[in-house]
Amino acid sequence: MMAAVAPPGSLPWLVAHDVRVKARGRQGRWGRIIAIVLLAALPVLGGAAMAWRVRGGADFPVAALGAVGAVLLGMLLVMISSAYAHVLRLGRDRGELELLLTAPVPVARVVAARIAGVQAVVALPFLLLTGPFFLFSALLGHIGWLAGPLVVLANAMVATALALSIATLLDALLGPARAKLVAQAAGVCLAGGVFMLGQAPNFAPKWFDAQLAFFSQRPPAPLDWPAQAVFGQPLPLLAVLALAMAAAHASALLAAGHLEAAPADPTAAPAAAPRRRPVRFGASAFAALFGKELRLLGRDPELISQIGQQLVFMVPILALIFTDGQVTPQRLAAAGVFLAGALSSSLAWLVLCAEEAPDLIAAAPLRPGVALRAKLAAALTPPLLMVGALALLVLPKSPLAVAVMLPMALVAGLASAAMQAWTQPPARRSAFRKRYRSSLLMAVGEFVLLGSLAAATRLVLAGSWWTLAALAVPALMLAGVWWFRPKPAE
Amino acid sequence: MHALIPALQIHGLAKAFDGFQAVGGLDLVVPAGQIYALLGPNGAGKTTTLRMVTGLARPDAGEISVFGVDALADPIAAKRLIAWLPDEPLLYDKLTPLEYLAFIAGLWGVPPADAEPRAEALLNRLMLWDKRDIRCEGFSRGMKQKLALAGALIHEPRLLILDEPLTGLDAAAARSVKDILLEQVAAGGTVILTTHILEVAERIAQRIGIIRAGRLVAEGSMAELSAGRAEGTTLEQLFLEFAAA
Repeated sequence: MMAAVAPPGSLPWLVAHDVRVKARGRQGRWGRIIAIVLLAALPVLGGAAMAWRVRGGADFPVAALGAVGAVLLGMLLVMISSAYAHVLRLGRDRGELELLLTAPVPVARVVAARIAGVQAVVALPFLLLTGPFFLFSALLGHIGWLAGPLVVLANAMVATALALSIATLLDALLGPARAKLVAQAAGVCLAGGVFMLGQAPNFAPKWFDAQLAFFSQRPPAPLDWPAQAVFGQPLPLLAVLALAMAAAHASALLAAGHLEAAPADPTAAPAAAPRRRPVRFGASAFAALFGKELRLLGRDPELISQIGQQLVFMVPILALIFTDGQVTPQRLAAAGVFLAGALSSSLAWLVLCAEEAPDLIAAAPLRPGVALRAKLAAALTPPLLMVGALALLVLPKSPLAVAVMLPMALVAGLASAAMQAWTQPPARRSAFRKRYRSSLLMAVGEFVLLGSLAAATRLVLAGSWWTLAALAVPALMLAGVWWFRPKPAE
Repeated sequence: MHALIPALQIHGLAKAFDGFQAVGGLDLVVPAGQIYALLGPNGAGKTTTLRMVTGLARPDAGEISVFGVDALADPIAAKRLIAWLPDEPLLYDKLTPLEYLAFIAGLWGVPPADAEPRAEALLNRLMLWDKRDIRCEGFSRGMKQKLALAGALIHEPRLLILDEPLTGLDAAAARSVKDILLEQVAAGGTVILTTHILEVAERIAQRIGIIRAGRLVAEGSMAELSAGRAEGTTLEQLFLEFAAA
């Protein structure tokens, strides 16, 4: 089948192999297809509406170059972040790559195929978002705007090259472990930055408008060439594509060196000088499990970064809570409950569903429930500490809000942990990012569950009887999930 | 007195998965203070049997007794006596060897006064003391298997159950594992192991059981199994005869 597409061993054949391997082995194919179709409908409708709106405008709208340039810059930053995560995986998941590297195929071609895969994965969401607008615009007369998707692709190629350069530089300067730590810190900073930017129109509208005005100004040439290229200006388009091709070529060379330099056998790498830590023997089974879970959570910078990034996705919900810009203790309490539940959900999945040695725990002489209680305590500790910090801020203004927020945060944590425990199958920790892909229903359900609990928090503080209705939603959901939960199989 | 009680007594043990009878009415007695090799072709039910003994799988029928303790009625008491070492080491990559052993000691409730010196002795014995503060993620397969063995021994189990303990080990590591098993038995412990390396079973096991399709088809010492056959009959020949019969 693949041989019909391209000769075996060629670059397209290798890319097709990579795509086939990545596409296989995931459950719920039809559910995912339906979700993708539904999600794709939004940019199609939005793109069509926008294209209709600008249909009578100039083919080359000079006044829009500043704004388009700012959008491309923002896109590049997000793409670099995404590409960085994929580049780290390039060096880590070497098993199958080494099979290809031992084949009589040029190394540069194998690596180029992998890099092409990263570029495609990085570009795809942005192509899905912007593609319909460019296509509809072309249909409505702006033929030159078909260059838009090419510029998005070029952006992804440059972002991948930059991510590879950053990864190589950090590895060389700091070593793999510290480089991961830096990536974690960068992820947290990015999350915080996105959060603050999302809230800026509410908290600092004047500043936000000033920033918009600044970035809407047309930058001097050649900095405006990428924006010009979007509208099909020939010379800027050629320059952008040439830059992207050069970046792609350089990144393939860099990646080949990066992979060859990385030790294939981790034990062959020089061991870092061990840092002596006092190890406490004699803990109870509960304390041993609790401590183990917190240690494992704290020692995985990549995981922490992923949890931080997932919390960023909650920003739109928080924006709904603070929709008119008023930050009241009641709203902060509701936000705290929602965030505690969301964080508990992630951590509960890690400790309950992604136990690395389940047979070890099952073979230990533990009283019933000890392991579950210890794991729940470990999953709920960080969210409750976070809510505790928020409570200290809210306490001087409204002790009542704190008195409601703390128990509701605990309920939200337990409820989302129960959802994870009752519905999610055992998995490896590395599957953390993909855990909802097989169950869109579960993701939506958890969203409704936490939203209802946050709403109940705000309603109870407002003294509304609607609190009962808001609490009935999660109660009914949990009862339903428990009733229909998969029965344990050995 | 203890020597009279079998380390493991199984009667009528059965387990089916989706209609496939993995273990069907297995009867087995493992005397205390010996190394017992449980052999059989792939899919014969060895691992399923051992998982039921360790409490990792619930049998459909049958009885399991570990040193006289009914493992189905009182699994916690039985688990205290057992250590389980599967072919894939049960480790946490982000923990150091010392932290791992402290964790296991906590699960099995070993007092710190016993656990700490025992951990040091085991890590020294298995040549892992120098690595005690390094996370396991960079360890080789052999180092991981040795650390898992240390974890199995930290609570001084009376019954050590190993599933393919020598898989992937180099000669030196395999030798130290075999030595430790012999020491364990010399100190009064009992070892049950499965292995496809028949020379190992022939050399170190006092008794050998061969199962096929979830039933015991032959059992005894090497001398008992080869009785009536030509001198020099190897375990490999016996295994092929019983497993294929």
